[in-house]
Amino acid sequence: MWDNISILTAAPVFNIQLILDGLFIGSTFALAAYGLALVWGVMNVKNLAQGDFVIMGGYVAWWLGKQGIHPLWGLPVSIVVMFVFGWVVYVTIIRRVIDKDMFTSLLATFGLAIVLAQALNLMFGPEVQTAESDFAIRSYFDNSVTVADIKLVAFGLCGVLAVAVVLFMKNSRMGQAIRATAQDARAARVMGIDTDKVYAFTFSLNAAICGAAGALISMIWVIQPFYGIGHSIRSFVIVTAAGFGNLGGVIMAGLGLGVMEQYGGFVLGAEFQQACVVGLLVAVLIYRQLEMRRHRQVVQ
Amino acid sequence: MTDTVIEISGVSKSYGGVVANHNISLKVPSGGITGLIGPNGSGKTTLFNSIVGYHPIDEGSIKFKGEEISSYRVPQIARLGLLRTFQQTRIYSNMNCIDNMLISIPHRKLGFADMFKNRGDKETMEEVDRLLDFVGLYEKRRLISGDLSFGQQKLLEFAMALMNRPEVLLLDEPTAGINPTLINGLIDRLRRANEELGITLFVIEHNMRVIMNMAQSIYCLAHGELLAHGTPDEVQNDQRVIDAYLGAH
Repeated sequence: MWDNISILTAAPVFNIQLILDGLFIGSTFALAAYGLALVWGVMNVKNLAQGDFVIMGGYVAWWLGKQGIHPLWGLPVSIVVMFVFGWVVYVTIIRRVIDKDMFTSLLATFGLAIVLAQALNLMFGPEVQTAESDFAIRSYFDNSVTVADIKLVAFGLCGVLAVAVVLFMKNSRMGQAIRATAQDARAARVMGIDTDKVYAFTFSLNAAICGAAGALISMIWVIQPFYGIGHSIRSFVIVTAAGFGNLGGVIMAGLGLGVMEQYGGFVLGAEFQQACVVGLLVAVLIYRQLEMRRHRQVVQ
Repeated sequence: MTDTVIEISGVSKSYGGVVANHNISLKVPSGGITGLIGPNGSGKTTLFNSIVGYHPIDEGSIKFKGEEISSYRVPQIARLGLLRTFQQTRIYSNMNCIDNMLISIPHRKLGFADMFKNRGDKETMEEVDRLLDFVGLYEKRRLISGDLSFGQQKLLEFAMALMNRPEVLLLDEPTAGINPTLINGLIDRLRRANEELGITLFVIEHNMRVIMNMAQSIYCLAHGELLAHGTPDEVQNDQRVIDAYLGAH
């Protein structure tokens, strides 16, 4: 570990590589986490299958690539496919657990995550895959720092999608109905808003966002049927740290998590990369608990 | 005025062993202001909740413009033009007054097109301004609604209901918690909504001065049952109503 740290201090340019890679992958984490925040905030459903939705979206882009279609086209296709898939999941599963206690929805989505991972494994096999974009890779600082063009494109697309979702939530009638339902579902119903339909749209929108994140991840990183749980944990870390309805916080937490993972993987070794994420989740939960305790004391 | 817009026949509702409404029948005439009074716990709010579909009734029938609605869901009933307000205001306290109003645009069934439809066109924004002006909140339209006083929040909730263009508005204690100065303004606006916009009002009210001056007919509930019905003069002179309010019933 100390050897790796000494490399970073002896050759600071490696830090640039880690930070850039962290920001690129972190932007996709933030995108998936925003979807989770939406479903959690509006429907009070903690979707443990969030990461599996991401992986599923990734396989859509990867599969299209295998058919000779550029995986970037997989982005819109993945959005549409996952939106429809989200609707089906809502109608068949989520609708039945939405008013139940927290553990019912946790168990339901955990079960869904297992089924999805196994189904993807059966369909595509357990190999780690990347959707080849064939974009150029640029080198800087005497080849010490490399940036693949696809990562820049993915970073930009994440930004475009985030802005699109914000504008949709702010300006469209459906977005307005979603915000109203999130704040007071009972009052929304009295005003004639069909909250069941709003929940279906919200869950489908989340699945579509996951699909987009997954398609981008398949091009800039790797996908594998059982990598979903890792992405779920990342989304939970980000949302827990940033809170609901705080898009700026989600973006910052997502980018920060991406950078931290890169540093964790470099310093501690790749096998500790996941452990860093779980460790961060524990740290965030402890911090939140302490913060809540302090607020309670202030009230007393 | 003589057409019945809400017709309730033999409605009963119990919570476990507690009878909240028992065999209640009443008619709300179209275009008028009808009052619903009764001591605390007499079942007034339960009846409102039954009308707008919050909970299923145990027995009886609830008709809106001749259509049986007792099995309909809350948003379905709202889309028919039957809205209610609450004792405690239910506004969207994190949003400004304009956003609150825009949420209250009449909602037909939401569809995919609503993902791309703008929340408020020019005509809608003019309607928002007009109604906020009507309730005296135009100057505060950009304020976060949670920062308004309780009375102003009630006025906003009323404006939100009007934005939905209801045919019938069920008002649950519209003057509760409002200072006397604002009460007069609110009564005036309720009357104007009834007379100028043609909205039928069905009002639960504890303030006898308000309801007796405003309503054309009044129903009185006690212990979940219909006790009396008549004009304001008839009801306030009915010995059973006096006994119910004094606790002798």
